[in-house]
Amino acid sequence: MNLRRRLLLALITLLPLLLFAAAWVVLLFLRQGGMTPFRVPLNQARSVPSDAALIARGRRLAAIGNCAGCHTAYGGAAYAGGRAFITPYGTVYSSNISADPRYGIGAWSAAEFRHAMRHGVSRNGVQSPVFPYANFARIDDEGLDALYAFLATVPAVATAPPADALDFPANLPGAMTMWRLLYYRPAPAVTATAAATPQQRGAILVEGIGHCAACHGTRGTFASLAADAELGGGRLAGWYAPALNAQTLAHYAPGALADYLRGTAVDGRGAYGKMADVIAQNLQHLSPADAQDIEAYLRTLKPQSAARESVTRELPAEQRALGDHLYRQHCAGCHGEDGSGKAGKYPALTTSSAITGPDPINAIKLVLFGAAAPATPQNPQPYTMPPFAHTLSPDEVAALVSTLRARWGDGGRPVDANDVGAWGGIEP
Amino acid sequence: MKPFRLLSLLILLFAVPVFAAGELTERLAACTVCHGEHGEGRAGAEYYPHLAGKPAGYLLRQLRAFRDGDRRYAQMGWLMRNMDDAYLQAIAEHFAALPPRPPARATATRPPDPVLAQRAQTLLAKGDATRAIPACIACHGEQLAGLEPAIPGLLGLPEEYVVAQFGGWRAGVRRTPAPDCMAQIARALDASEIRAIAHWLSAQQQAEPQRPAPAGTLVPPQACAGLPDSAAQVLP
Repeated sequence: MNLRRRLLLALITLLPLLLFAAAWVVLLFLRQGGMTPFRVPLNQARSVPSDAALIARGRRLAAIGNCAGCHTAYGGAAYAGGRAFITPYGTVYSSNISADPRYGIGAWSAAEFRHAMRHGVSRNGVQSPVFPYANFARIDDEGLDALYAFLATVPAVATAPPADALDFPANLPGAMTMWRLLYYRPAPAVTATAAATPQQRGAILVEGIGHCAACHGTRGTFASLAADAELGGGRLAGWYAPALNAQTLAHYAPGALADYLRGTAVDGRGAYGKMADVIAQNLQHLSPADAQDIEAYLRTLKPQSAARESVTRELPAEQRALGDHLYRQHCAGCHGEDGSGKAGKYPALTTSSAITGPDPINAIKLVLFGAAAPATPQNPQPYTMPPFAHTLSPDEVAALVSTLRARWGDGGRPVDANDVGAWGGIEP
Repeated sequence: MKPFRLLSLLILLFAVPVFAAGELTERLAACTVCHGEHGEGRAGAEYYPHLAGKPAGYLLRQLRAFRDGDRRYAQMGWLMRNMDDAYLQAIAEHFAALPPRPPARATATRPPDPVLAQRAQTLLAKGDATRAIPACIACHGEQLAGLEPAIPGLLGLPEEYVVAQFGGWRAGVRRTPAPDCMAQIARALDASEIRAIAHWLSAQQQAEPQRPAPAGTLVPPQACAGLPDSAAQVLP
């Protein structure tokens, strides 16, 4: 009797809590789009538009969106997927989006493709947020149909990428749906009207198909999408993608950023790291107008309040002396004693985000492995930076990088040999 | 006046290619830091191969393989990954046109083991028919100087580099489409033979560095991928 009364009491107390929790889940469910995302249109007939203008538009969008970049493995067939994305939650492999009916998307209807791009859910289930569908949801129907028409022209490759290898908790059933509930808030598609300004057209490209924030932004807890820090800079796949705003891009003369995106070495500054891949594989095909729109939009962005490490440790005098010595010995010949570079050949270091930006990882990698900007029609024979991994010890690399960042940037925390060891790898 | 004109013309003739080569050298600082300013290899380096005077077709094939993942070496793949065929061709021709030089020698080479040296020389000159291993000279030439346009010379390559290449062929991280002759040979040799060949090759002193033999001067006994058709005849 006593026990039953206590149970009843507990139930009465807990009931509001349970109801509240249930209501909360329902609310989250509605906010991620309700049932719509999970109703994949599977039974529609496939009919591929053969309109040349539409295919051309799709090709242009695929170039801006770097589709081939993510959906091609090193040494693998284009669009066949299998490129590994190593995340804090395990490894995700990109999917095969070639026209193969079994392993690719060659059996999908236009409606299913549109649905997958907009909602991140397809016949293969709820996709991981590595796939930037939050951005692709902003592409209008015509744009998605153009992409669909273009991808149907991609040669079919009958291979399946490896299965994802996710860690706890991302490997739990329903984890991707849970992520949607917590963080996914669909944004409406945007169409560029005839009256749109260059800035507006640029915004559509950057926030939609371009999904620049995938690298140039930082995700929060459990890979949440941080809308307010979208292009605030971030570290991904071992490289730092700098913040994009009026301040960080100020050292590009008007029009020069558009040129850079299309593969020009601006004042000797070519792309390196992941951006070199993006330009080589895709952005070099940007139309001049699209590139100018992107530049126009990025220059309207305001710098965010810097959330930088407040602990600025003084660089020890002997490290600084070593760094100065190494710079004169190995670097000054090309980059100049004063770090101003050599116009048209070697970039200035005084304005390089690898030196002045908040993250030292790019400078470490460039010193260790050197760099070569992508070969493009605008820069057919790029100048190359030699690697020093076999010449300099980790301590010397650390001293050099810390010295240059103290000299031309605000320094931040000096790096040490452990950082060089931990951050210095390159993937093929 | 006339001799002066002739002289200036001559100077111009020679100066133009030199200038062009110098210009590319300036762009290729990433290559020369390991392979030497003139592609001669690096003094004291135990690993990096020389490039000067190797057949352009061979160099181009290697550069493309690094880029496309058919020859895996992280540093090379990293630098090649965003280069197009046109630039790779220019780089290959640049190094192929440089005069071959005696490579900068690693400081200490241990004395050769006479038994292993003998084994190496037998394989180089005769191969081993019982294991279907052709003689090295059958493709790389009597002088091991290579054959235009796509078979490299072998003398002067660092020992560790040669051993690593055989390892790469065996493991499939240096590969060509079938028939991948060097992979077949590498898998047929045992480790001590590979070491013996590599050591012997690296220890040879060349009085006069040689250019690869002109195309067609010898017909390799096997059809191999990446070689021009004329070299792919099978001898009776």
